[in-house]
Amino acid sequence: MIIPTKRFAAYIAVTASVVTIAVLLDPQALLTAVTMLAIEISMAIHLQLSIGVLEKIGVEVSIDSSTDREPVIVKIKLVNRSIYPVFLAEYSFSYESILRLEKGCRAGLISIPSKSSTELQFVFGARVGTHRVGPLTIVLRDFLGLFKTQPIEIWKGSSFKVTPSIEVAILRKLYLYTRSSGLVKSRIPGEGIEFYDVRDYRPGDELRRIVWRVYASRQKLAVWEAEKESYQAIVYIVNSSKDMWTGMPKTTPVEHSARIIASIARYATSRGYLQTAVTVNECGSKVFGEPAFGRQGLTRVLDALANLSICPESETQVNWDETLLKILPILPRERTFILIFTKTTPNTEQLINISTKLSSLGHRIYVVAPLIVTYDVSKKLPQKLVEIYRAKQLEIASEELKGIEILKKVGVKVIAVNPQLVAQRIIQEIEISL
Amino acid sequence: MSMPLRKDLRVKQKGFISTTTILLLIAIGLLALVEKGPTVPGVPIGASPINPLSLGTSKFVELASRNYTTFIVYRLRDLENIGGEICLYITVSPEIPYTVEESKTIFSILRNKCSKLRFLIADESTYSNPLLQTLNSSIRIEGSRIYRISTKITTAIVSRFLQNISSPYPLAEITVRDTHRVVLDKASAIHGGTATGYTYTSSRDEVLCVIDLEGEISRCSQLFVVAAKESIDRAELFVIGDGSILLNQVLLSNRSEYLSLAEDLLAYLCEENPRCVVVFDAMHYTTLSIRNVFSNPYPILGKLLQDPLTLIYIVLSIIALLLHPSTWLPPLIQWLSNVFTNITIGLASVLTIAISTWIMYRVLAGGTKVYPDQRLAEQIEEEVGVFAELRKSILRTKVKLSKQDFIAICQTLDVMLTLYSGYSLWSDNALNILSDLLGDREKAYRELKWIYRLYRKAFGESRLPLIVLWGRATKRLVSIVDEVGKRIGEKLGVNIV
Repeated sequence: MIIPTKRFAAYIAVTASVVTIAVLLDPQALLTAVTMLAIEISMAIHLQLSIGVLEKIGVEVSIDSSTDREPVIVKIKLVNRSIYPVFLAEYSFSYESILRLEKGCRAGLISIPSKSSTELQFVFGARVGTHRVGPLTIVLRDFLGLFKTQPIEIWKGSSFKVTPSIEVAILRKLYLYTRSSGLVKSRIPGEGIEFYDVRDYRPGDELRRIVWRVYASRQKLAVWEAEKESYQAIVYIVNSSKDMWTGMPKTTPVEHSARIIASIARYATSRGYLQTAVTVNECGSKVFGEPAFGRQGLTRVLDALANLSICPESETQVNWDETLLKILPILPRERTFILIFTKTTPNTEQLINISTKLSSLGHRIYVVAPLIVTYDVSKKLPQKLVEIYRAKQLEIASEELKGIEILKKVGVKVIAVNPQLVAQRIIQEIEISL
Repeated sequence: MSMPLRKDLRVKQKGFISTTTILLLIAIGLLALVEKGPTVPGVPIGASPINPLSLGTSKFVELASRNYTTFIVYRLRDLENIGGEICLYITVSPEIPYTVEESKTIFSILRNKCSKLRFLIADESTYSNPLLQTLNSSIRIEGSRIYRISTKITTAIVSRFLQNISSPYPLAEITVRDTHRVVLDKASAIHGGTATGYTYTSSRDEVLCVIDLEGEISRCSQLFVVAAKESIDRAELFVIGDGSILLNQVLLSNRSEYLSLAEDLLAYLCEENPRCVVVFDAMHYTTLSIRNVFSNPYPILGKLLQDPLTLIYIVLSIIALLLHPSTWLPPLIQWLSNVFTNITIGLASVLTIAISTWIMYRVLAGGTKVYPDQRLAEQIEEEVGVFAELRKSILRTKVKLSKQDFIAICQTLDVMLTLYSGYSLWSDNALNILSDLLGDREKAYRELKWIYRLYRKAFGESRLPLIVLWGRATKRLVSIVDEVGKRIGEKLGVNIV
């Protein structure tokens, strides 16, 4: 639909004065008046034609996203197959407010020549999780700006997923730490493939495990004994509520947690642990299947992390009771290591509830609480407000610390250490628990 | 029983032609009517074929239309639509003289359109002579007046003696197919052609004299030719030196000889052929124009009021003319033009142009609602979470630190110490813990004492110190907390605030 602008009113006022002059004073001005009216009509016709073209325009979209290390590239190709070009199209590209556009313009002017195409490219700094881009809206104007169209949505938008990258440094540190500390050894003889010891033969031992070299030297039957293989089921519960997205892009608590989880999951895969993940936010909880071994388990965890998203309904809070109901069916009977990556406030009571209930079922619960104060980077505030901001920040930190204190008091294990040490601390807890 | 339809159930009538189109068509129609003009420019009161009064010839037209196709021509171009096997052109006592040019045009058109051409000219004046001349006819109308006069009067002024005669009008015998005896009115002698009608006297004491315009007797005779006919080329003419014998008052009178003459004339000239086309000339008659009526109404009305029928006819005709756009539209436009001319001079012109421009603007814009041409809203990249909200709140509103903030930060310090050591800020061991963290027992004691005093003051447990600037005190406490947090971080490798 075409709507006239205020410039149209001014133009018509001038035209009206010329028409009046032509009628009352100088008939020669009539030609000018007619020309001005003809221009106005031609502008309206041009805009109608352009709308017709825009309604039939082809939109080809490609979104290139993988991990949070590579940028996300969104390409939108607008194909004009008609013989009429589109001039002076003002576009505006919408996306989630937490995304950061690194290259490209979120709004501007484009032209789409006839029988041709125009491509818009937007490069975003990748952030872990699922994010929405679009719609792409266009407003058309005529050459004189007398008319414009209502915003026309030519592309409704789409979502893309970004998987957290596995930090090699963390992974290496984990391997180094576990090997040097001997945490990976179960030190119990049993079923397994790793050599543990040689012992005397007992009736019932498999013949293939007899060490014939010992028999040859000592004339005594001895069997090869393996170290008992240890395995652990791990469930990661990640809170991606709004406050978990606070801070600088890519270094927010939720993104940092995602990278830590990815690294731990990679490590746990190599250890043959069962694992899966659950995401929660204000909109609800999502379980990504039962804990699984190896690659499958890793895929489930990475898939969950790639599905982390910000909930648009900001007024609600995370419903931990719902989360409990959803994860109970997937938990194995064996003791499961459950890591809850969340801030401890404002629903500390619910956290205590879920932790207590899961603990009573024999599972080991750890609340990994990223202190969000430590993730907040001082923004450009006026100097006189910096101290006030810091004071208020400490008040919020107080609540978080109180939450941790309360959790600890009721016996919930809380990991609230320096972000660099979180992964190591978790692995330590897992391996020791075996 | 029909019930009125509810408003929402009524079928909406939708106009397929817009009001503008209708107005435009009306304007075009008015202009066309102005261009064409009325049938006659005024009210005909003479021997015009459209005059139904006693002096008109509408009865003769009616008589002709009984047997033949009849046309009345108001302008020369009307002749273009006429054509037939026999065309009979009739003019009766024209009041406007024929010109040679229009006579040629009439003859030329009719000759092209008709196989046979006939002319009936009943005229006592010389106005028809140019037509006769154009037709190469030898017949001419003298334009004189023939009266019956007593033989005793020969040279005297006629008017003094006419009263002595019972009727001055001459008797005539006109032969068409039959011979008709009629009384003429103001008959004129004619000459040329083959004579077919003569005036005669009823007794030996009378004589027929031709009297000129001054009333002088120019010549007298027992016999004058008042009708003649002639054949020229493809045309045949019948000329009568008196048109009054074909007027309504005569044809509608009790005397049938006039009607018989008229019928005989039509039958003779049309050869009783039904495909004969009779054309009556209505071009050469004066009319009573509206302007004359309104500019000087009394003499005219005075004459007309004598006859009620005439009065009704005139009034109705004038109303019809008044309603015709050609009567009122040109003066209206002229008046408007004058108004425009007057209002486009001086100060009035400024006001006029301004008002006209405003009206024109309203017409062109047509009440269209206009909108500001703002650009599309751009996507805003923003932080989310509790600190983003806090930052917005601080920037938006004037936030001041109060004793509540002081209490809250005291509690932060308390939690920090509890998490670090298990001892509260209010415990006896607090000094030792703080000393350990700050590395200066005296400083720790000083700070702790200050915190306790202000905390009590904030809670209303103490009045001292009397004056506290809570904003400044809170900021100082923040710096203590930051330092403690930093020390805890260094000791445990944990950043907690």
